[in-house]
Amino acid sequence: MRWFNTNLEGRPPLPKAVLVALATLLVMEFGLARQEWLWTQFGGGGLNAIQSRIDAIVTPSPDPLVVVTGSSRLRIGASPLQIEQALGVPAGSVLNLAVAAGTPFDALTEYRLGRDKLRSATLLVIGLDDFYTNASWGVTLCDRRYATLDERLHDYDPPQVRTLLIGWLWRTCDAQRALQRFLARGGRPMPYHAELEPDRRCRLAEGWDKPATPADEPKLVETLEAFYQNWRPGSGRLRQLRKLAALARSDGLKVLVVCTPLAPRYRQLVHERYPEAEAYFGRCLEQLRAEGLEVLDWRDSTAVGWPPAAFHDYGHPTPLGVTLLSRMLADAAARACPELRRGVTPDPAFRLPAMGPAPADDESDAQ
Amino acid sequence: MLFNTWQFALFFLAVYPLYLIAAFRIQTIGLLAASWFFYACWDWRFLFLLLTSTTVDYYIGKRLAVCEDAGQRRRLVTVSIATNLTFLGFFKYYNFFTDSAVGLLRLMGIEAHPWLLHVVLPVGISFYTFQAMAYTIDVYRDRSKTCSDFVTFALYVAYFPHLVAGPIQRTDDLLPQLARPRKVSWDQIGSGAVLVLVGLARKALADRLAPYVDLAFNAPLEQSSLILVRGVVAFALQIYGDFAGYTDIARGISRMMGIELIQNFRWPYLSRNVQEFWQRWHISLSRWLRDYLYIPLGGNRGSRAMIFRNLMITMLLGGLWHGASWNFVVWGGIHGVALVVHRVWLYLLQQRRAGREQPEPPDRADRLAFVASWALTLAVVLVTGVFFRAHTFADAMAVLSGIVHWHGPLAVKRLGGLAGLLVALALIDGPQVRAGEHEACRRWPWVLQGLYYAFLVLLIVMVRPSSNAPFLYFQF
Repeated sequence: MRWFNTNLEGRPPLPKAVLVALATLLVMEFGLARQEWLWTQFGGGGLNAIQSRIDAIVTPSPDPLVVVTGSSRLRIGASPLQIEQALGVPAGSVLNLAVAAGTPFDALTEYRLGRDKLRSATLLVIGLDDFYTNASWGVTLCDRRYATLDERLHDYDPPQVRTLLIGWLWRTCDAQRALQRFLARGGRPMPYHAELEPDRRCRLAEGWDKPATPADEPKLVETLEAFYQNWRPGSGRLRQLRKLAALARSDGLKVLVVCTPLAPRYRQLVHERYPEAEAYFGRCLEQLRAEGLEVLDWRDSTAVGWPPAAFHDYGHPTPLGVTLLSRMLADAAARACPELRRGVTPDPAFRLPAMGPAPADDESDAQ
Repeated sequence: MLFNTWQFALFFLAVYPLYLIAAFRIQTIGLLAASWFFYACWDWRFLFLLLTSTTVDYYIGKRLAVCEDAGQRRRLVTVSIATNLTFLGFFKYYNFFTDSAVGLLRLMGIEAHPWLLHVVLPVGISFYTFQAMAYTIDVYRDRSKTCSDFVTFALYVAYFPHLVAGPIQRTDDLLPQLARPRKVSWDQIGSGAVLVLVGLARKALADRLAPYVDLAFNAPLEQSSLILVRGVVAFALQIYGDFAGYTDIARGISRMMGIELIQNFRWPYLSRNVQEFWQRWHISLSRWLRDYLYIPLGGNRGSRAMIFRNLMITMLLGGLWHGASWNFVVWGGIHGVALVVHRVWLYLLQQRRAGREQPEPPDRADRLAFVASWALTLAVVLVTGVFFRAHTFADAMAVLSGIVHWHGPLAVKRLGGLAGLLVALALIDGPQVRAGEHEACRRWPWVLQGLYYAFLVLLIVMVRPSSNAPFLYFQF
């Protein structure tokens, strides 16, 4: 029996059209996708938020002492002014750099970008959300822009590694969101600013101050399913968190990992629907503790004394929650770093500010 | 293993070079092994089902070749049909019919507690059972020759580009191509690759439309009318982009191996009546239903009432073929009614014109009728699509009622994303429609061709969601 044969007929033609296509793609790759302005002006989402935090919060700060990173729960919940008052430290020494849907890699990036200033701080608070151990979550524009090849290979979960490696080789894939915005905005740059509230938290969503009601249950379930859909255990974000902690510790900062309180009903739903995920997250926290990190697990809101009125939704705090969380953070900071209690007189004129709508750009860009 | 994944790309890159250098027999065996491996990647247990169906139909085909007795031939073909329909009926419809029977008994005041099974639907079963049945029926009718080689016949059933979602091939179209030595030309490789690229672009666009569809259909009572309309239109585009995209990829891959699969779509949303729609939409299924169901039922023979009955039965069963749900039956039923109405209309038109000696030249009214018939057909397709997509009959009614009883803001801005995707789809289909052929771009000047290919690649990169959604027709 014959095994081989030539099944191809004729000679291959010169693929002129293919060459034109390749040339066009190369022009796109080097003329657009690898250009810095595309990322800075059309990054939007997390990238915009990160850069604006550096420019509007880190750079003007004279002497940072406490740096808070994390997701929107801390972005809304940690009031720098209230923490400063509780600790008695000078105004401007507590920096809230948390961003909407902020991952540990976002925090790592912020720390790297503002390291010259932040390395002189005393304490770094890293917010850790339970759902970030879901390996099914996509990568963000921040991952795509700032992750090095080594990080893409080692600090992500397998499906994300594949995406990020393709993006490293073919930057046009990485720049998908930025290119979409570039086209959608007809080349007009994205707004670039960090709108801060008077207590120097970031701008909050409209209606955030209203407590959740039982009628919000469908929304709660929707959020839960969005966070945990296709749940698979992942440790990539934890590796990034460890990296950040190690970097901050090497600069002489103390590190606190904080899991902010969750609405009781939401926790119950997680427990009922995703017990495996909940147990896995618990094991991850134990592992972080075993590695010498101080982990404050405040997810059980009843245990930490939060009333239901402190929650706007599954985990974002109302003004009452902001006060409670800021106080808890201040206490934890003082316990971790007793030298932070300075006894500076609080500003008596301070009131919780009236909140306006959040800028539309400051949204998650997890894909 | 979806066509638009890296796993499939690796699979194809491993198979294709070997295919190009293997001698004919090795090539066929290798292709069959690759096809079975492809199927086993979904769920290896169902490979036994595929093998059983293949073996039964192969031996019945062989017996039919030597059997002269009409009665025995009929019994043989009945065994083949019964085997395939039993597989299909059990895996696809067991729970559906059991549930429906329980519901009916409950209406009659009888409580029944039947044995319900958690049956998993084997991927592609609706397609490969039809493919296998077509063979035995064609051999029985003496329209096709018996395949004397098991490997070739098994490949005919399991050939991986069309295994899980068609197109369902005619025996005479596919079997001879598999039975003779295959040569591949560079032109076939080029045009096949273009088809794959076009298919991937269509699929990427379809996946981008999914959020609009999901928003409208997942909770129709909570959505404004505009969002519902957007969802309905988006679904029509999504299912077209998804299925036509899948078919393009299947045809493209197959062409690169020197095997032609039939065209399954010819711009169906340009149809001016429902009959034309079915000549442009899922052509391979329409043809199968016509050849193996409609015509045996009597087809266009007999009284008008009989023709209408045949049409209705064909469309109702065609609807049920799509899925074990009454929604699909309703979908098929409405299409059946639309086809009947169209036949009546044609009859009335014929009567009106019968007295005239010469056809009148087209005038403005005719052009208006042209646009009106297109719009009416599209409306029927969109409305039936609601039943096709909705989870339940109540959901479908909620969507339609939400649109009819207009409510909510008319925020036209919310249509921007859909409009953008529609334009992108038009840029893919436009040149094809204009030229009347799917590979129109292959005739363009090479610079223009190159720019078009780059556009398709960039479109895929720009609109592709981060995760690969399965092809919609895989569930059928």
